[in-house]
Amino acid sequence: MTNNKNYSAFGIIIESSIVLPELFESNKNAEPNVKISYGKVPTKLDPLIRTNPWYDLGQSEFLLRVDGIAKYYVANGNLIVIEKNNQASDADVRVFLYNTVMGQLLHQQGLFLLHGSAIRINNKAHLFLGLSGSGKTAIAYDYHNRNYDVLSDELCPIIFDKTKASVLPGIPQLNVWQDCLEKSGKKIEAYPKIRTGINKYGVSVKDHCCTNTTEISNIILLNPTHSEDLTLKTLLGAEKFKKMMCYIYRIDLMQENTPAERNYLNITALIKTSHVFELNFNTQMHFPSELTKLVRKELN
Amino acid sequence: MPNIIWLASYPKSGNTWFRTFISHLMNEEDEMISINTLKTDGIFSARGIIDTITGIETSDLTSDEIDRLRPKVYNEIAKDLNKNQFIKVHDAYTYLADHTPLLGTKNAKALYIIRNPLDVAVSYANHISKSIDQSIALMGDPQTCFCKGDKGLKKQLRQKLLTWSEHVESWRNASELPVHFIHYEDMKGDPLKAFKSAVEFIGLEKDDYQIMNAINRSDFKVLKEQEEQESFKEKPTYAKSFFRKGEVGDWRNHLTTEQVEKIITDHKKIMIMQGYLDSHDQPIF
Repeated sequence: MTNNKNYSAFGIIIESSIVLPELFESNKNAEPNVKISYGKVPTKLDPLIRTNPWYDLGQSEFLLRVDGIAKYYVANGNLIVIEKNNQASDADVRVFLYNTVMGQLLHQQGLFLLHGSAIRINNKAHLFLGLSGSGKTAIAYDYHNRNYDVLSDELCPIIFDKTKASVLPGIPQLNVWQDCLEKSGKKIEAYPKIRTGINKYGVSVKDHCCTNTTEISNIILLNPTHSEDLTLKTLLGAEKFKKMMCYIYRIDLMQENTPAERNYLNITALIKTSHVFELNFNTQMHFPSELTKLVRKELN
Repeated sequence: MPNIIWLASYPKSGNTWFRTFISHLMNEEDEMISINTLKTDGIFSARGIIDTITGIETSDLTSDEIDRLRPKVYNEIAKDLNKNQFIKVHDAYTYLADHTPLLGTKNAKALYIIRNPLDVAVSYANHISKSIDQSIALMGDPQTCFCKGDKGLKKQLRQKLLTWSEHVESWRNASELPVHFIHYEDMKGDPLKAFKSAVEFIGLEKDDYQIMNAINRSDFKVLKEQEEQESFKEKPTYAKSFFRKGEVGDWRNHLTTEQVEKIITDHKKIMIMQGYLDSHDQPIF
């Protein structure tokens, strides 16, 4: 008898001995695709594609070292072992599990990952892709407040069939900064901090999320600028392709063991079936609500 | 052997001017370079490079945790350079709790640009869209940081500036890497001599003609015109302009007697040491 629980996210069943309250629990009898547990991890990987003080990257293995928190070992797209630092909390451990570590797991499974959030609008997915600090989560949170279903945040795993590209549902939680909550008129006391010392709060969207794989219709690239203009521009041709390449999730970590052609083919497949736009805005001047207002006006 | 060349200064002291000069000096094409496409290599407080090198989202780390990563990341970068990296830095030269410098010091040199604090106060006020009194107060406050707020994600990492005097002193006392000081006023007054000293310190083999050519192409008037024509991506949103006047001694047109006295009181020791006050405590420039 174990205390393991099954969870679902990204279209997979995860059996975990670590409690993962941010995820949906899933049927106990379902066959898991992935196992997560605490345990000892290798000190280094061999053979190596690349190493530095923070990670070792192997062909089907990955070892991430987050100082003071944990070491995370990911293997074969079906195993995550976490060696937790004594000082770290379970919440600390989960924060890093849900981005880079989960990203590597999905990559090992052969999924194509984009860096962004995904919202269901009229039964289709809108992807908002952007670099760190570009407002992906703030935009998803604004849509959530307007009763739209959130599909994913931070990691957008994409699957393809002959006629369409779709996004898999991710973790039903948005990690929202204090200023964003306060601007929305929310009291921060109502939400747990994702980590002590960081004013970012976990907003569960379990009551308003989409748990089905959803076809992508529109992709919006978030482009913070220094200009005062707020514009939504349709991207075409080579520009569309070139700009989309910037939003592959952690391409620096993925590309070493992914043939470049695969990324090109995936982007090509994606832009063939979706409309791509660039949202130009100034983070100092334009609130997320103004951005989503423009997108809703133009694209809904 | 290539180095990281830290281009260090207190804000509004000529750092962007020098980066423009270096961009032209290193450019192999005979063309004008836009202020929006400078050929230098970013800023020490950039968030993305830390995320990329470590595989860890800095947005999930505290500022102190990030500070512990910063020197390691740049020392890692410095291990494998195939050309000089010119990186801007506004942080004061500080140390972590374990006495490690915050800055990467491996294969590194620093060029420190210093400017009369009386002129800095005026330019800094314009840059941060605050009054001159507020600017002077910040320059005298040891807690002054760029990007300090922790309620939301800042584009750049926290940068401890300390007081203007402490900033200068911190770099003067940096013992883990070679530091060369140049004065803004010398860059204006005798540009060939000042820029040439910097070029020689960096270890670049450039002749006087090449240096003068780069100086001319990065003239303040040219930068200001470029900003007027195409704007400048580094201009803070609410600042009127990034490049204001760039003149030496323009403070005389803006500061009150009380404001001058306050700056001199706050920074007298360093102003004397750096040649900004005469033996009667009167401003030289």
